[in-house]
Amino acid sequence: MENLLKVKELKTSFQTLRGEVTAVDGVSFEVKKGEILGIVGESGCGKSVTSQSIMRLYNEKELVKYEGEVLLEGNNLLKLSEKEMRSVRGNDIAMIFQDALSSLNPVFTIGNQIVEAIRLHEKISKKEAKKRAVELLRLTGIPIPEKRVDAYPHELSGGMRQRAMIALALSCQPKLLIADEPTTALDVTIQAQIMDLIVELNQKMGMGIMLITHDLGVVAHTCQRVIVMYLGQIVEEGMVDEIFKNPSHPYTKGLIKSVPTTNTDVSRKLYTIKGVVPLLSEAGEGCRFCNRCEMATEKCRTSKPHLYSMKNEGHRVRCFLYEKGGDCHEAK
Amino acid sequence: MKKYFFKRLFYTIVTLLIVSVILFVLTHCTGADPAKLVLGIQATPEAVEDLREKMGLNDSLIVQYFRWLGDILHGDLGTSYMKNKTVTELLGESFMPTFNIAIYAEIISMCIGIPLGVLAAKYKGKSASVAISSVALLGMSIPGFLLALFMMMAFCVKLQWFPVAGYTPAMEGFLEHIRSMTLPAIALGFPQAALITRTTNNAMLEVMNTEYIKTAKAKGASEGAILFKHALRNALIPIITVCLQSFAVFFGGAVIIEQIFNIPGIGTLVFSSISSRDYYVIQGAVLVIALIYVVANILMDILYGIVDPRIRITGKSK
Amino acid sequence: MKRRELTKKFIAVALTAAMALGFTACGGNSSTGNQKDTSGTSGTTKEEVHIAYNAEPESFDPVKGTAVATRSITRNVFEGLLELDGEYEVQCQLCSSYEVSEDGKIWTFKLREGVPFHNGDTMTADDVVASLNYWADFNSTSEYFADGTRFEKIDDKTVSVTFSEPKFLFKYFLAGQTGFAAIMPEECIPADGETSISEYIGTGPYKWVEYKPTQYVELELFEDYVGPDFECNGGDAGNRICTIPKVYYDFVTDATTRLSGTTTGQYDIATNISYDNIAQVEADKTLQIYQDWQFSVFIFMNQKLGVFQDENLRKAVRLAVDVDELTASGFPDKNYCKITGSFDSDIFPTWYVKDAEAYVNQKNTEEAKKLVEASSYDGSELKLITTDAYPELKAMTMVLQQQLKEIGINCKVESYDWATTVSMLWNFDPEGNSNYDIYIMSYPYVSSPVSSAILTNQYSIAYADLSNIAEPLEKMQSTADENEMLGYWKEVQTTLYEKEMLIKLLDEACATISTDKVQNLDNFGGPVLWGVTVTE
Repeated sequence: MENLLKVKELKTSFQTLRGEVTAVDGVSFEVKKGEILGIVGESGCGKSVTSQSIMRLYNEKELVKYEGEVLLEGNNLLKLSEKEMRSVRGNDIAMIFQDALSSLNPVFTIGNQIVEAIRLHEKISKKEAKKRAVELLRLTGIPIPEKRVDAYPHELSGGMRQRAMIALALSCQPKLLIADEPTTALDVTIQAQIMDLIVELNQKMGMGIMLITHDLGVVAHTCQRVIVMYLGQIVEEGMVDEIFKNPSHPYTKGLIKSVPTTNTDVSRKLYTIKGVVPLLSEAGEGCRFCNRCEMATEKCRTSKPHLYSMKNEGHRVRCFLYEKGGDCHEAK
Repeated sequence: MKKYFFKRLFYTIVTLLIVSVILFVLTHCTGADPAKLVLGIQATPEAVEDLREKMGLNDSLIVQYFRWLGDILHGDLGTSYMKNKTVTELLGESFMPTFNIAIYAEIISMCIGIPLGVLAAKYKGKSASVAISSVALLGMSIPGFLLALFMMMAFCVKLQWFPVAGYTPAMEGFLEHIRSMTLPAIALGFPQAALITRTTNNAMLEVMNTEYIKTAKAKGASEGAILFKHALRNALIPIITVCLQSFAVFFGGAVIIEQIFNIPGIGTLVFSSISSRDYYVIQGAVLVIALIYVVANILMDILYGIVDPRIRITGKSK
Repeated sequence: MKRRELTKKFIAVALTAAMALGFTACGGNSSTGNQKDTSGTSGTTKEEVHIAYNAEPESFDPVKGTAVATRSITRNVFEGLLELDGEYEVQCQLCSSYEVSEDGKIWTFKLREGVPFHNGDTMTADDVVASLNYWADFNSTSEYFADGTRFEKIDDKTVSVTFSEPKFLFKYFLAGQTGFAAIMPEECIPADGETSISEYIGTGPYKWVEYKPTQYVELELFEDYVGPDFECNGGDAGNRICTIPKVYYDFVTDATTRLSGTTTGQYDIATNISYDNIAQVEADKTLQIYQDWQFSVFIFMNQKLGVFQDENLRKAVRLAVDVDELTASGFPDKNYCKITGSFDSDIFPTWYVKDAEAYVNQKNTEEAKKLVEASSYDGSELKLITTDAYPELKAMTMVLQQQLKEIGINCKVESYDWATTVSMLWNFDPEGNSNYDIYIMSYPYVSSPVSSAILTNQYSIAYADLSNIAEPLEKMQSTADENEMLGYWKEVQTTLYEKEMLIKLLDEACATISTDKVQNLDNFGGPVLWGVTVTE
């Protein structure tokens, strides 16, 4: 499979009142055609910033500065003019967000919004576009789409809204779909439905999908590969099976341990990673995770680790424990 | 829909009734005697008593109130003591000029305020936005009458572009009409334009931070479309509120501007009738102004429903 | 970042400063109003003249509209049998002569012939009688018509009226300015006494064209006007030769607007300019300014309730009051007030009493203080009432408060709007507490003192005892001999002061302005249009 999206050393910095803050610090990854890539991490790790940087959604005149490369089928998106970028957004890359209620414009019907998305990139009549909108709604599993197309976002249930947003994202048959926490705001049964839909669409349409989530369960079920991010950096990446079988980075291990399973001892407290995520500006000289890491050494505090390759193909970890590569030593 | 309409009508009537009672009590409790004012300072006590009897001023307040109310229900708003005309006639004559000024002032304030507010939000933090905010602050700080006097000095006396005073009805020459209305409308409209600018700016800034604006950008929409289609429409609720309230304020608050530019409108009527304690005129005019406020509020509700489907009275059932 | 912040702040301040400066530059005086050519003698008569008038009367019925404004506007349209000339003397206008019987009870008027009305008819005795009785009905509470006396036609050229008592001063009442005995066609007089006239048809030099409420009155020159055969001398009497084809009385309530409009030429004449603007007007070469003497100003003291029932206390006030100091505060320009103690100033040559001057403006604080101390006044605060409606009166009131304090009389100044002031001062409740102790008030001129409400209506004189002067006032009406009459008048005037009934301070003039294209403008209770020329 070829690379659909290749991100090289992406750095995104914001101008804040406290000075310049680098939310994404040298992130590199690929999404292959038709692949579902999961990006996992806690709030504030930079996963949303990464996805919005790819789409260049931030206010570039004042707020943000991008460095590095974002290659979509070989074209560096970061070098495009705003006008050129506009024809990429919604067309080649589409995005769906977490809360469909606040992400859809409340004063326009969903049909209207889908029609707008279509007509922004294709020269067809409103009538034609509306017909397509109806079909898109049908595609995403909304019953009686002919009626629903004239509904306002607040008139639909949570699950319907999310489907509508997916329909909106698909309106121009994008090559890459970025789904930023698409199921976080939904209840469990609906979650499952939506994820099934996304997987189905991935298979049907051959779309590449970047699935951003903090939910490891979802990642396990749907993604082929996964990236773990922490404080603006990738700390571990690899095939899903491998990561879950052999979580290597202390953070990843901690994450997986934190998820209660049916085997968890209910009489004991749930496992949490000790400490809290520090502010970006407080990131020190060494490994960013060191002050929460049970296995931190002096080296960890003073030098920055790189991503080291593991035995398994594509599995890389940013931790001095694996500097020499090879299998994962649990130095406990 | 019918239910809503009747409910609104009911509340309107109740509001107006309450206003009428308060109005009546206030005007009658000023302690001055309209009969004495009509007859002048050489009046003899017998002449004054006579006139008071004729005017019905010796009856109790309650009797007088219900007499007035009863007359209104027959379409009779009473007669002016001072001008020997029915209140309805006087209101009819003075309604149009004030209405004209209010409309033009509204147009001016909206045409200046909304675009400037949108631009101020767009260029937030930049010099342009600062400039707009400064002008807005200045506009809101200048009392309307002061602006009126300045403009009169500059444009009427020095430059002679506009007539100093007077009102030409639209019938008698549209150009002259606009010329005589321009400065009063600007004097009224400019301070409100400033308010509308700020409201629009604040509303737009709030809206610009929402998720759906991000979605719009993610769709590939242009900046203009995002500003004027996606954002503005959502920001409209507070903007509509302030615009319609402005209109009601223009209507009721044009007194001083009308005095300065000698426009024979409702403001002038209220002013002169209060000075001369012309009860029926005061009551009739203020009631009309109250009615305008009520109508403006109803219009607001209707417009809210049009603009924001979440607020519609007849929604599609979920 | 810092630099950007500074730049923005600088822009904000600069913009604000620029706008503020711009505004102040626009203000300031407009003595550079020289867009118009100031030659003033270009020759062609202006077609339309606009007069910015300060008040809109509620009625234009000359008989029933009692405001000065009514008379000022309607005298262009109507004339009376008798009119006042510039010296406030009575002259024949629509009558050719008149005589009064020896006993003073019968007045006979010989009418002029061939006097046209605006509708083409000629004035007849029937018209005159109907008009005069309409006027008499409206004045039915006056001493002349209370008993039902009315005018009658003697023959086609003569009308007369017979009173039950001698009324030698009737001519002043007939010519007088409050309540205009205008002559109209008989058909125009309403049948009942209730309604006002609906059509304005008179004999005057202008025809009534239109009244647009709150906006203007439009008048048109009456080409066929025929006046009496003597010249006007600044008053209403005489041959009212007018040249201006169309006249508009524009009702402009705001004084600044009246002034601005005249500066730009939108108005040719404007009445009642604020005293504060006089200096500015005088500096402007394109404007002219005139005095229009209209008011008498008095101090009244409540003689029914309160401390001023004590005659000595009232005397103390009269002795102490420094009228020069009062006028310094009320009148920035001395030309607009005429200090006099005479009930009528020398503007009325007939009624002026020179001896009265000695009574007022004595500035004798020593004597006054003694009187105050000797009285039973306990120093309690007295109510000195004034109103915002007349800023010059209010300014004088504040100074009066100080002057009274110096002689030991403590006053609190209470200022109200006009409506409330009227209610307080003309309080007809004799049992009630006094609303006031003392106040300064102005009264418009009347043609003769016997017509003055002050001398006949106790409520207009703060309840002073009118019986003191009732007899000499009556005697004034009873003699044909002018000297005898004036003797009685002097007696009235003296009694007013001997009994401390009031204190006359000054006469007051309003300021009227015009452009420099207006020539020969007189002001007599408003602008007088006869003899006036206005060029383009």
